[in-house]
Amino acid sequence: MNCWGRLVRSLGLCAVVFLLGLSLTAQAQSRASLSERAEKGKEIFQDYCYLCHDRASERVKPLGPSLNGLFKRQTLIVGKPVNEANVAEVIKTGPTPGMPAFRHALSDQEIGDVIEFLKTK
Amino acid sequence: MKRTRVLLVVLCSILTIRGHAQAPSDLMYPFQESSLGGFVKSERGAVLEGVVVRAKQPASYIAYNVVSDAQGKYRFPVLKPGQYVVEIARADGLESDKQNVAIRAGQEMRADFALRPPKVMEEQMTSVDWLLNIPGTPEQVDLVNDNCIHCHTGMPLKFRFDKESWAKIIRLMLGTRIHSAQWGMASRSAADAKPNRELPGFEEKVQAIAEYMSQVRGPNPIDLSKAKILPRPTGKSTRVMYTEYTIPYPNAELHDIAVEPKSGMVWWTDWRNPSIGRLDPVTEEFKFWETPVPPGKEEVHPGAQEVDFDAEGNLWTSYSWTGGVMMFNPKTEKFFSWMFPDQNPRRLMNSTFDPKRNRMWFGTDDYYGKDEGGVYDVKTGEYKVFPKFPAYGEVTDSEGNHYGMLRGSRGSGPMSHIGRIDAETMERVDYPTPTPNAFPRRGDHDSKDRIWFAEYNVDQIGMFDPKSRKITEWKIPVPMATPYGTGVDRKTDMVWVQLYRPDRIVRLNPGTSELTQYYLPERHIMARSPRGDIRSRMDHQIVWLGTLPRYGNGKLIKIETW
Repeated sequence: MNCWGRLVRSLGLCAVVFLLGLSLTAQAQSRASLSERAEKGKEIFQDYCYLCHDRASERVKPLGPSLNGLFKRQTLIVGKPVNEANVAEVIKTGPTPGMPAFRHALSDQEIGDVIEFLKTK
Repeated sequence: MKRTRVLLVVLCSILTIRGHAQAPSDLMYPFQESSLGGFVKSERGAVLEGVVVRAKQPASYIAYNVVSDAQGKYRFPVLKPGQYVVEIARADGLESDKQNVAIRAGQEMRADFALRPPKVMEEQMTSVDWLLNIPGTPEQVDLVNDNCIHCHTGMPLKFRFDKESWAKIIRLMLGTRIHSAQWGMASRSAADAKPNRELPGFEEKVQAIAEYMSQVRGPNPIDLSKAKILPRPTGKSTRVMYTEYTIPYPNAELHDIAVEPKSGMVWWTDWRNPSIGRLDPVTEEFKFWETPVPPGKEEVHPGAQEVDFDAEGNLWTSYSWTGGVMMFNPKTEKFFSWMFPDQNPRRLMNSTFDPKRNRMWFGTDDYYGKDEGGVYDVKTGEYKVFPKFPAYGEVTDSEGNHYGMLRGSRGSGPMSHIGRIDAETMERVDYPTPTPNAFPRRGDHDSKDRIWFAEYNVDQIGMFDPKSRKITEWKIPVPMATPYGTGVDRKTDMVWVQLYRPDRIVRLNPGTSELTQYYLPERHIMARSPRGDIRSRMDHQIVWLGTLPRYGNGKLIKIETW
């Protein structure tokens, strides 16, 4: 192969490496992307919910029940069906002995954001 | 041909990496050029000095902060072109604000701010501001100060609950003994510890705190719009730049950091997660590792605290919650760990390494009334325990002499001493602090092996001189300063002490006794002991700080002053 041919092959290899990098980056970004509301909900969850309902609960014994896959379950811990209204009510009223009522700490909008995030868990 | 291909691949890689990295020379003081500047004023046009302004690209893990000067002007160094969020990071007592700014190469962009009074004052104040302004008797304020703020700093400012909900939270908190850490979580009472909730008067205490909290952070907000806020640090205190690096795994809570003296790499340990990591300050790249389960102690694993290095650059730390010693070889990236030969469940609340003798000094926690200090040579298996050595912080000087910041506790009774154990003779002598009940906390030694430490209870910095065997104290002129983390930049021998409740850091010049305060770039970040950078010099001082914030993720913060 002449020098020009070697250069073209080498540039081709570089392009493959570069595109592979771009592709992996795009995949990672796609996996991580949440809606704007879910993103806000994630921040609120980290500040208000995480300590008792840790997301990485496979490796811990959380103080409260894990919320992974909450919207794939049939019923809440209080016996009601899992839906947005009932989850919002639990967050607002804190119906269990360990959970406080967040109605004075979070607005309806913020509770809605948390619910959007919980749907992604 | 091979050489051509390799060269091209390397060239491509360099170009790709350059797209993400900041040229570090651009960030060195003095800034020859700038990408962004502006003025910070009040809404009525008054100059605002001492306001921290942050610039960050939304997807970046790095944020840059500078401070407005006596004319209200702030100025960043050259930043990588792109879209930035420019925000007021700290202007206590004023509403924060932010703008989107497109930084272009070769241009100095401008973003001015006019700050208004806050919509919700509690969101713009430190723990000190809150405690000094909330209504109530001194006994009620102390209930919150002593029971909540010691561990949670300003967290109660974020929440509003009714009395019943506050009682649920306080019952949980007061009833939980933090005897270990399980993957980022406080765990419930240990089997061998009496749960607090069985102690007499538990529920009465819960109700008293809940009643007060429901008054000051309850359904009906109290009016703090006229609150007196601590004045912003000004003058020399504005000649500072903070670079914040957010740790790349979730819920990081950095406890201690250390700068490796040869490479300058900044290492951290995590209090609640079994991770150690490092930041390369030149390339700004992170790398971190999961620590191994200690031999025979699978039940409790996470977290470590102090970190030191031996002469070969190996990192030494302890298993804080399990007891045991860990070494990490950065070259081979391999861990080695040792338990105590008797397998006693000592929880090492602090440790320091003597690189001359390759042995680890340790202090156990006081939750079980043990309060032991000791030294352990992992290679020979020899160890010696000193009873009633209630060290909150520990320092081993360059000769291997060991010092404990001794404070009173359940196991040892009231103490406020610096305990010295001679490296050769192992003779122990305790020296009382001139101010009683000072609560010496963390410490460090300077280049002359003088021992510097924070006196948490009395808002002072202490220094033990090993030649005269005397302790000297300096008062910090900030109410409720609560000095905690302490570090000496041994390139300049400046003493840096983090102030817990005011979210500030103070620098003491031992030669002139001058104290200079600086805002930390965020409130409620719970920083620990600062450590000096190997490039620090008198006209451009550099120290590092690790944080375990109440909100958001842990960070490494580089503080540069001039």
